[in-house]
Amino acid sequence: MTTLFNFSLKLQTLQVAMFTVVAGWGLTVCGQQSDDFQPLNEKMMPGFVADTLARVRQYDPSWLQPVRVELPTAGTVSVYSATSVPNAVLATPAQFSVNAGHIYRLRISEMPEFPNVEVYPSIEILDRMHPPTGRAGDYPIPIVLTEADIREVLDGRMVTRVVYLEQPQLAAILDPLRREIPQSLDPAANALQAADQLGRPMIIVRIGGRTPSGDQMPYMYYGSGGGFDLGNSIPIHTGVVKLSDKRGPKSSIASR
Amino acid sequence: MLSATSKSARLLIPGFAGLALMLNSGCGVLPHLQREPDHVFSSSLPEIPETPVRPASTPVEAHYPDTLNPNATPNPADGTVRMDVKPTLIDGHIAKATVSTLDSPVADQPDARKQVFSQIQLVSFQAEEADTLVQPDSPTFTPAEPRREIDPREEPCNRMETLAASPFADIYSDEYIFDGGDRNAPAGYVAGQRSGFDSEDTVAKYTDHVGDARTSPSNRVAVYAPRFGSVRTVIGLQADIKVDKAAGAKDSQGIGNIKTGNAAQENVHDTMLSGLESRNRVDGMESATPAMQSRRTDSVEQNRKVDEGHEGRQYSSHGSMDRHQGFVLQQQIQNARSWTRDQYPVLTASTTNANQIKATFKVQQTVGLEDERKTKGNIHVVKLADHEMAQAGDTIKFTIRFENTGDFDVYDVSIVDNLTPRLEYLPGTAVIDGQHPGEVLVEDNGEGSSILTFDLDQPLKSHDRGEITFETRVR
Repeated sequence: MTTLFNFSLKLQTLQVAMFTVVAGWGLTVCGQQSDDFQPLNEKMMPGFVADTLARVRQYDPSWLQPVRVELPTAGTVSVYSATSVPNAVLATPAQFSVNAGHIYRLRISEMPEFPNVEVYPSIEILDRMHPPTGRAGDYPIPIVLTEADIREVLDGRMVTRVVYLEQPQLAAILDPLRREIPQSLDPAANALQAADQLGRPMIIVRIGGRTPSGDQMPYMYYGSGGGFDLGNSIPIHTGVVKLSDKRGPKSSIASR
Repeated sequence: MLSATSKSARLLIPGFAGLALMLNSGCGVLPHLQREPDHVFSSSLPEIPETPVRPASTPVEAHYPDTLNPNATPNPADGTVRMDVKPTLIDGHIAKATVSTLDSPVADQPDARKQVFSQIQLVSFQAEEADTLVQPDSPTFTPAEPRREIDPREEPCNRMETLAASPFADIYSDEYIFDGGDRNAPAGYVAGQRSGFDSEDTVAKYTDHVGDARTSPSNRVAVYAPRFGSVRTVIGLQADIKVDKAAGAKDSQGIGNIKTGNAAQENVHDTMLSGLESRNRVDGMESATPAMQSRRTDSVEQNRKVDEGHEGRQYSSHGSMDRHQGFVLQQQIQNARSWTRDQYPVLTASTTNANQIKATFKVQQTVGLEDERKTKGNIHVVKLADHEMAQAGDTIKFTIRFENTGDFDVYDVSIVDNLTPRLEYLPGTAVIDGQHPGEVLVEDNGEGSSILTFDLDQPLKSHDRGEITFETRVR
């Protein structure tokens, strides 16, 4: 009985403490409201930013936004959406269409610069384009993974890229994406806010060293289940390769 | 005993905290208790007048003009309301409703039937004419007020027309390259200097026949050519390692530097001003202040003393202001009294003399030539592009057509095009048509692109038109 009383007392104390903390947090949040405050950042849980924006903007789920994955020279790109079975395996540059407001998992492999290496980046689609009718496939959002990105990942770091649509009136002379204007930020900086200052954030690309191990993967590791369309792209494998059927990655990052 | 005390104390702490939060003015129950009730409750039930029991009303089937068939034979038993219904709801029942069914003797006549349906159509589609037909006690329709007052004389914010492949060009403008128009500040010339020429602007500058300098912007051309960039962060186990420094994106500042720059000690030392060594005194004599006193002014108290000028205080003292305003105020009070007293009304009388004007008109005749030119010279500029969509590296040929739509000639004609940074002018491609000789001046616009200025050598005559072309490459 005494134990039960002590437990209820501790529970009451904990409730009061939690209420006080939450009330203080609410006041702090109210005090931080300003024009420059960006509540979202790329370090949030993968998929959270896209889901938040999709709830606010109410994207048309029937619209599939073309994206194009470019590797340093060559390689294959597999696209996953909510399952461990890839929707398609494409040769780079791989172009396919996905839903805005969702997160997808990619598998990059067979890169000649990095033999026996595969990485599993995630792409979080934040926004969509509005091209003239029938010309969406001509203007995909590019996802450019450089050799430096892959090398950083192989060294044990995590690379996050925020792809943004450039504001034309603030545009630079050089192409900031392919001509490699270095736009790396301090790790503590909010890359989403920096991209928002330069244009309109479109995609968050996270490349880490984690590789899937069987079917026991975290929630939404393979994506949030958004739509997928191959478009005019031709997959390089006609058969379906299931990750759980494989013996494992040829050379996982953890084993290096 | 001690254990029991500590237990009661642990029980009281959350209790007091919860009570304090409940009594708090922001989130507690006190505001609810202090709130005045918005209803007045009575302990006695009001008397309910006895109402006769009405039979349950039969459901009324709605018919619309499109579904009515004048040739169909109506069934009087179905209770269908056809027209001229003026329902009045009392306690949920339809009362005092004037119902005319088609089986009435009036409706049996063909003309009456036509009138029935014509009235229904009038009520449905011509509301203003139907007002004359409805009875005074019928429900009236009041249109909702517009949410924003519309002034027909109001000019639209953006009068420039946009030529684009998609109607969404103005909404999602960051996906397009624009050229033409007059963005942001209005373009013009102030004392011979260009002013307000933003990138993308295309403006014709000229002088009309009365010597006024005028400008006319062109339309806007939108080319769908989105371009992307990316920012990158690298996070590792050594979180303080910076991989690349941001070039043009952001510079990081160390906290230590900020603290050093804002140190209070440095601010105190910076306020040693040599100018404080001498200042005018009230008696007009000057005296040098020793350096020691100059240093004393660094402190807060001394600074305050220096700022309080004695002469300034005399001129701005309250006493002098009150004395000065007191006379005026007294006079105003007296005036108010004399104007408001009833016993001394002020009478004003005036005499108006009647005047008579006599005029004699003479027939005159004016001999001469009337200038039939009515409208001022005005240059209308139209800009066109040979691409609606483009990729990086594509070449876009722009055409600027200009025309003097006025009746008078215009002079000193220049057409200025400030290219957006995404467009690179291809040298040597600017051409003015053969009928309008002139020169092309290419300048750097400071944003990575060019300003093209086409100066016509001769005035542009009325209703004359010309054409300029140049090519750019999409970056």
